[in-house]
Amino acid sequence: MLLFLEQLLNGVQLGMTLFMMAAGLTLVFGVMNFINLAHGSLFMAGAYVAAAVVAATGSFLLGLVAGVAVAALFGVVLDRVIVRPLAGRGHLDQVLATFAVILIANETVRLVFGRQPLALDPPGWLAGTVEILPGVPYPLYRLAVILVGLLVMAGLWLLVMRTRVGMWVRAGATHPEMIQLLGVDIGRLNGLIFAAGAALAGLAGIVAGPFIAIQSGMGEAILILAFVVVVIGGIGSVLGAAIGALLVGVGDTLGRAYLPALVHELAPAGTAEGLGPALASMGIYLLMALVLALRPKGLLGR
Amino acid sequence: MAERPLLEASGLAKAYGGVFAVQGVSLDLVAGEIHALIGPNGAGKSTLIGLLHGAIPADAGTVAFAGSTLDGRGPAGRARAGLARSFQRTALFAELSVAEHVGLAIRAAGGRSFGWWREARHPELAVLDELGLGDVAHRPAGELAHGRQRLVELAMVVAARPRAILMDEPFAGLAPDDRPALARRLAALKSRHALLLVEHDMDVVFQLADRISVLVAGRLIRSDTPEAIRADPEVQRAYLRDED
Amino acid sequence: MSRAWPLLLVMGALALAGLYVELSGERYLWTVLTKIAIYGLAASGLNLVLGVGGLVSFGHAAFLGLGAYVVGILSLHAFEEAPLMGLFASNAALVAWPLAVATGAIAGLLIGLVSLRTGGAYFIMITLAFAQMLYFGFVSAERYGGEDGLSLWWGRNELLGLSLDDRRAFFIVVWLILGGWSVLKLRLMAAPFGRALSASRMNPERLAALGVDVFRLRLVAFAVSAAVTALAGALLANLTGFVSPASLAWPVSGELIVMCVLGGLGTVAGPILGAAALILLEETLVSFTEHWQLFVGLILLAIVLASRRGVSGLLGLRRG
Repeated sequence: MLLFLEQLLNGVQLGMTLFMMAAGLTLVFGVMNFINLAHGSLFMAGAYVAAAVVAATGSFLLGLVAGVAVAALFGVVLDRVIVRPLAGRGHLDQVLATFAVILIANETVRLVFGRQPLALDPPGWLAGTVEILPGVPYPLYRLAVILVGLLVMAGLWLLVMRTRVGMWVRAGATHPEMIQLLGVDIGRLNGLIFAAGAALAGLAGIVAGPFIAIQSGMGEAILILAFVVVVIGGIGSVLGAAIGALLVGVGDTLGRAYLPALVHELAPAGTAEGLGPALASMGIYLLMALVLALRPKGLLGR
Repeated sequence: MAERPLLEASGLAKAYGGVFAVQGVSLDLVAGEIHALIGPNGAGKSTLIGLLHGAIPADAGTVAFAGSTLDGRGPAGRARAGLARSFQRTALFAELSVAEHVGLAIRAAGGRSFGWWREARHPELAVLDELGLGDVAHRPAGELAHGRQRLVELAMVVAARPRAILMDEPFAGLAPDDRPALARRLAALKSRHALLLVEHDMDVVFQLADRISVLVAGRLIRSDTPEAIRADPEVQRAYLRDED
Repeated sequence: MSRAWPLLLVMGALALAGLYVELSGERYLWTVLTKIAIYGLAASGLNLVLGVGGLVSFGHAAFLGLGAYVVGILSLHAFEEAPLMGLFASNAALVAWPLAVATGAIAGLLIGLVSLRTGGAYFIMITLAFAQMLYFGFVSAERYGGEDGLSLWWGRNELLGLSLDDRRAFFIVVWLILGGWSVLKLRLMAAPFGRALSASRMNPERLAALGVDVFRLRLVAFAVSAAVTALAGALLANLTGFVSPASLAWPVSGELIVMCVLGGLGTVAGPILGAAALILLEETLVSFTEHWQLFVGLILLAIVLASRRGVSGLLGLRRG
């Protein structure tokens, strides 16, 4: 039971990371109709810059700020160089260009930082555990990540639901042509959305940094999971991304923790021992297939 | 003419976020007639065509064709049943030849699956000749002038021999010189295909239509002969308001 | 058949290249040449849905890997003399390769059923996700090497009693398969099915309004495309003598798309040209620098940004 609670919280924490990735993705898809495969590279950029700055200065906060800033900057550059010229061009061109960016980014990182993974440790003041229930210790840092995620969710909700900019974003996600008629500078709005999404991706990379290897190609695994989240939640819906992220985060974590044992119990002797772990790693994609079978445009897609 | 209508729509309604684009519309189409649908901008004509065509799911109401219901069937199913649609903006297959457009239409309406081995043959040149497109039969449709692209659209729709055609503003954006020719062709069509014609060009409407229905703010306010419509004060008011 | 001349040229060039390799005596070149032909087949399969159908599938590596694993698994069980499920064990090409094709077709059918219902961005993401799913599936398959993969140390499949270990013989077989499929594809594209598939790329709503079941059209095309790519995977396993989850990784899917685009999306010869271009580029760059992927990325980016009408008009090869 205690283990279950721990795994559940781990799943929520993963969900928060996924939400930060998916929120930017889904808005860029919905408002700009642009497929950005390089979103994972923004995740990687945040993690690498933070790790380097922490190693140089010893301050996690400085690393955090630097990582988010550089990721946002990277986003602005991508927006100018690739997104704007290719926005009208169709998905194939966008896929090819952002695929090229992945190749460039991964190799550049190898050039600059070498092939050895970098380390990013949580800050000293977040080390250690906290008793969330009597007798149940849980890492303080993971709780902090969940808190950050909730803050981001709340912040985005406020922004999208309660501000004028947010109203334009919502309108743009369902009827892009309409907001131009309202006199909104589409170019600047899109640039803002893209940069914000990039910053969030960078943030995700930093908070996830202590748990995964910071190395070339680290962005793509999480990117594909983020795609699953966007598909499940529905393109253009931030709420859908939140629901999808929690579903995927918790589902994947619990699946990996419990499915192998479950399969081992239920399956007849002699079945391949790899079946459990295989199902665990494939489970989240089967969930996606299930959602799509019932709702082809995702839970909250238009 | 006590014959059963070919196309019967009853109580059609469609709302977008609380606003009714179409409300309580019932109309029918009889074989051998041209039934025109007019109304001010924003009256809901395009939505109504979409509902009849199956591209837009209705919130209420039913559509029946040749006695059987079309409800639940999408555009492809309705086309196979004999209810075709022509499009307002040019919607062709830019890189396919004119003859291939017609060939596709015929095969699609036939409902059989497409062959894999033998090259698609083009016995449909007769249809093209009728419409004066014989000389460009093998040119890509995207290369033709706008007026001729409209004829390709027409050829596609007609070639499959649908019993009824929903025509969504076929004269929109057509040069004045091209209009009489198209009007003649439409008039020639009605013996084989019943037409439900949505149009803004009043000259064409009064020239061609056997019956006119008027749609205003999503409701059908009047449905009668052209003379009666022309004289109706309510219809005149609806149009005068639009012109303001 | 004026449409056939690009294909004839390319197949002829491949044959001439084979002659050159034979005369040069450099055995390594056989590997490169056969690799070009095999990836040409894989890209040609993808091009049926990408170039003709207009569907951007970022998951075709799944079919490549599936075909490879069919060969690997069947051979492994044959040599361990312990048939899978009591039935499946063989090192015969005429058993393994058709089975690879069938597996590809079924996988294509299943994945297509789920992913073809919505288009656009969803389709790209879903195909990518399913390829990743299969990647993870094979990584956990400890029985077949897991992440490290499976080495086919006993050699290649045998075809009608002949071992394919001879590099010349294997290349000829691959060349024949590539040529055979390409001729089939030429006919398919000119037949009503191909014209309808092209039309579905240009204007799917209009096609549906004519009465066509566009979903079924695309599903059939996707299954055929998957089957062909799986066949290429089976040949690839034979070429490298090695099968691993890496062949299902997302960069492979990207490479297949690049090959189609480089060679020209509209023709049958295009994907083969594209495969040759990309493989030769990679071979050349590798000898210069270990960071060759950086240059591939830069070149690709430059090409995409520079071509104003979009990459489909790239080499000027006319679309059908």
